[in-house]
Amino acid sequence: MNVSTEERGGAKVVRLEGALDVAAALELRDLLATVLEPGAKVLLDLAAVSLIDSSGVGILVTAHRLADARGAAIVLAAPPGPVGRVFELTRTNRLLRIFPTVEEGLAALAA
Amino acid sequence: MPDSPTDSFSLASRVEEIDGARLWLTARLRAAEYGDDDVWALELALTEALANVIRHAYRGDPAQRIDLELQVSPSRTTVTITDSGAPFDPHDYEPAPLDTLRSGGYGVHLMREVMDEVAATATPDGGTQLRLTKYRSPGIQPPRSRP
Repeated sequence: MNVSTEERGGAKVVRLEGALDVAAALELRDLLATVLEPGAKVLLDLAAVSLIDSSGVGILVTAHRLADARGAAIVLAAPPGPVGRVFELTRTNRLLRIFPTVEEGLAALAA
Repeated sequence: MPDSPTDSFSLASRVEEIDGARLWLTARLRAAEYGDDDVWALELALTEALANVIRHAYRGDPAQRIDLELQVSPSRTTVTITDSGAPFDPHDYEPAPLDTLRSGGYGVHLMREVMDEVAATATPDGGTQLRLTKYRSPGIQPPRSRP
């Protein structure tokens, strides 16, 4: 998993690349625990994610809870078809905040 | 396309080894001209199965070994995962309700959803042999986006 981060419109945009799988889970967990400071607005750009497994989904659910606990906000954006399919199969698409594009995700964070 | 002979691959019981197993699988599916949806489903199911073996059957012991066998035919692909750890049968697993926000327990559910057949048998040494079968999807599928 490769990670790059930038600031856009008052939000941290974290671009993830590669597989969000069991091998990347600990790195992803630590990354999200760091960027989800109290009050932070975080967008995870998933456009370059090739595969997500149950471990990756679990980390994103944990991040969602952590954001709530810290008064922060996290949204997911631009998941490719196979990644979106995993959210559907686990029904986490009903619970996580997922947007088709980065721009829509940033707009939701700014609202 | 004739049936290919059984192909095999072994890996140590470490999560860092899973990517190599996926690459091995994907190369053979691409050579057999399987479509993107089928390749994705088999990659995902293999990842979940290997994670289960490493975490549950071997309880995180990195010194153990996992053996894979692959049979690709024009109509279906079967991946067989054999370990010698603690027994595990996904059919004994009852997933928790999916309508609550939870951090784990999705793996077996995903494996069942994306495969056409999931079968587990006990091996003579007390381990488990898990067979994942995916029937080839009809038609031409569009390429998926990959980095």
